[in-house]
Amino acid sequence: MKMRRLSQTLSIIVAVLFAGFLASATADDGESLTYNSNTGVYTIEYYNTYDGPTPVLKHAQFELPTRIDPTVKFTLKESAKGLVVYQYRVRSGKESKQDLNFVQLRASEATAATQNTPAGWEGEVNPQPDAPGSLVNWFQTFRGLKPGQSQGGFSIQSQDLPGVGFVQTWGRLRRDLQGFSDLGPTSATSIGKQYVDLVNNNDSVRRTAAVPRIPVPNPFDATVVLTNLQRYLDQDLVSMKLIDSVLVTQLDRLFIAAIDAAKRNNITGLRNNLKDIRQALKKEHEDVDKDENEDKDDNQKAKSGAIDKLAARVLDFDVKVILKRIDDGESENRNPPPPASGPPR
Amino acid sequence: MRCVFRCVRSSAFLLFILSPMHSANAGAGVDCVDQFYQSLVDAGRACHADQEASRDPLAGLPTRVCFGGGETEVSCDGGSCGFLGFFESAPIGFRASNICFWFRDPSCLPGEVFSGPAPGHCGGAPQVIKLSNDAGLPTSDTLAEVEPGKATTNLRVRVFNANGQLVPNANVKLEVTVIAKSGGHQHDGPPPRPKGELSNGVVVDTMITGNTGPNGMGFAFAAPDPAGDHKITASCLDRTCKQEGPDTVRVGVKGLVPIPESPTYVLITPNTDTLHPNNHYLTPASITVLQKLAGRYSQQFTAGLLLNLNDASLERGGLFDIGARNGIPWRPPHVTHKKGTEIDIRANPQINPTTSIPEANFEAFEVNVRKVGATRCPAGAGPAYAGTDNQHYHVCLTGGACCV
Repeated sequence: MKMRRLSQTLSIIVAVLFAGFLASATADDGESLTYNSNTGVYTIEYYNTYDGPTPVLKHAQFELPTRIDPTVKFTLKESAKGLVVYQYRVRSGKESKQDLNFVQLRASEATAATQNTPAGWEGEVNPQPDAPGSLVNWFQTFRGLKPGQSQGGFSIQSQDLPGVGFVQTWGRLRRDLQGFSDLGPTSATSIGKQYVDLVNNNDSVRRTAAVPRIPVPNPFDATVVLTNLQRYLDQDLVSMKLIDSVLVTQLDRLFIAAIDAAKRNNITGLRNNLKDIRQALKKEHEDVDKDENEDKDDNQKAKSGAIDKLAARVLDFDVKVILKRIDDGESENRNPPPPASGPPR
Repeated sequence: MRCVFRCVRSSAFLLFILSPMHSANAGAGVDCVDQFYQSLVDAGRACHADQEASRDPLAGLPTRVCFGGGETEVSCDGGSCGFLGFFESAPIGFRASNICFWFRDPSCLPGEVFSGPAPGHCGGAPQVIKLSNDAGLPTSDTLAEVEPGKATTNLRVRVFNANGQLVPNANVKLEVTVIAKSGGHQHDGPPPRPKGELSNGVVVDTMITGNTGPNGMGFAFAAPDPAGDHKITASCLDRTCKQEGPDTVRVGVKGLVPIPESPTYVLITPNTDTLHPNNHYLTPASITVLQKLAGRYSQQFTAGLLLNLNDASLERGGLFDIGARNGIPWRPPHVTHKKGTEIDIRANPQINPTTSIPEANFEAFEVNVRKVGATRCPAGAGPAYAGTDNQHYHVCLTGGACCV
């Protein structure tokens, strides 16, 4: 009798477990995510698990704003006012399938007054409430840069020095797709997880470029700037995998010596340390101090894999600016402005 | 067999003698207690608020008889009841042995000497069980503040003696209850509102037991997705103790503020979802971005078109279960809307032609979203819930991953 009761109980447990298994199998059954490389359109079948107690199979088509193949070139200059001028030219590759209609970078410091926007485009600088710095935008609505076209004249000025950052670009989405009749899939299902990863990792097309990144105090303080630059070297360039550890150690030592010299107001020592940094960079990339536009063949002169060429070029520019500011400061000290004339005593 | 009382008065003491009597005589016992209670009242020794006597197992006993003596739980043992002595001379003693009556006085402990019916007259101050937060207490009455879906591991339960010294190795029980209609939800179920879960490293449940060891028992509280206030009731299993101090874990996102009125947007009020009346809360940073977005939109389209704002987050964030009004509480549909960083913006001109973003402006609106550093969900062109009455833009105001 006991055995029979136990058998009945086990049967019920097995039935319940099996029913649960069937439900979960059904929930995933029919889900799919496919990509049509000819049209660039994703088709997704997924279960909406959140709008009601029973999962409902949904169908949607969508396109990502990443069907573009942009190139971003930049030049760096110092303005007469001592600001760094960042100029960009964006080219939409011939293989692009969408019109490129949005260019964005994050600047540690930039103001709308210094932004230049080419004709036919709109520009805007947006300070970010939850992060330091601003978003610098250039955009077009209802149109964009056609495949194969390029556009220059995007520029911004900043008191901050450049570091390697990203310029983000977006393609214009087509408006004729069916879209989602809900909020779309969530990570609750396997297809949903694929979808979420897909859209979150493919929100824009990024290209590395120099962007305002190294804070420079006003008035200029070599110790602070060098400390910021050293942090950028140790943390940002390393995390971006743009420099190897041996060169980081070598440059780090030079930065420490330079910071020490700056603290002690040892201008000669500081200048020598900075020149050593530039020399170390030149050793890695002979044409590190050449502007990108002058560099006709990127690969021919590249000598080292120890540091990315763009990173070396930007770092060299930073050190060059610091050297110039030091020289300017010295010059001011040697030739101080005449004292304001006061009433005769 | 029941036990009843018989009063014996003496000049030196009052003595209750409990003796086995037949039920027919039970009334005499009740009278006896009544008389005794009256004598306490006459003597100005009324019970104080936290004293009470259990009515069980002798139903019908006066409820305000309060002798203290801790939770002296005894049972009638074959009808052989003992003595209950109540002495007026100091030190006044209390003895209970094998009697079929119990007294509950939270301020007295088993074995402590009872010294009279007035407040605090036990033979020592009560033992106390306290919850604490090793990371510090946010406020005097709050044990911890935890974000929905997250856990805090800094909690500890300790028992202290009369002198405030730590009592080691106490067996304790902790149990979670959720305070009704807290956290911005004007509903509690069914199904019941999810409770926070406790863990002492051994057991994970809404009720756990354990030993405090030499330094108290550490435990964690894992918050459910909905915001709300969770009370942790602590008690001793091997002694009588009284819980004091902070006992409430507040589950919610800190720092959310109501979206202010603005000429550049319209808050859709009142919320038709009466179970969640306060649906317009965001982080200050998100409000800044929202104001930019709405400002740009109103400048761009000057024909009096304003963004109409629907659900953002509840006042303390967490799960925004708008399905509750359809009888499906404590689960999405609002998959996100939890952190005060997302908002729904009306985009159903077919239903709301004057208060919605017109279809002709959809693309411009989407560009505006990107300009201010926000993102949208789902991916692709156009609003969420496309083609339905509920068509709207779901905007993640602080950017980053939006679809989850």
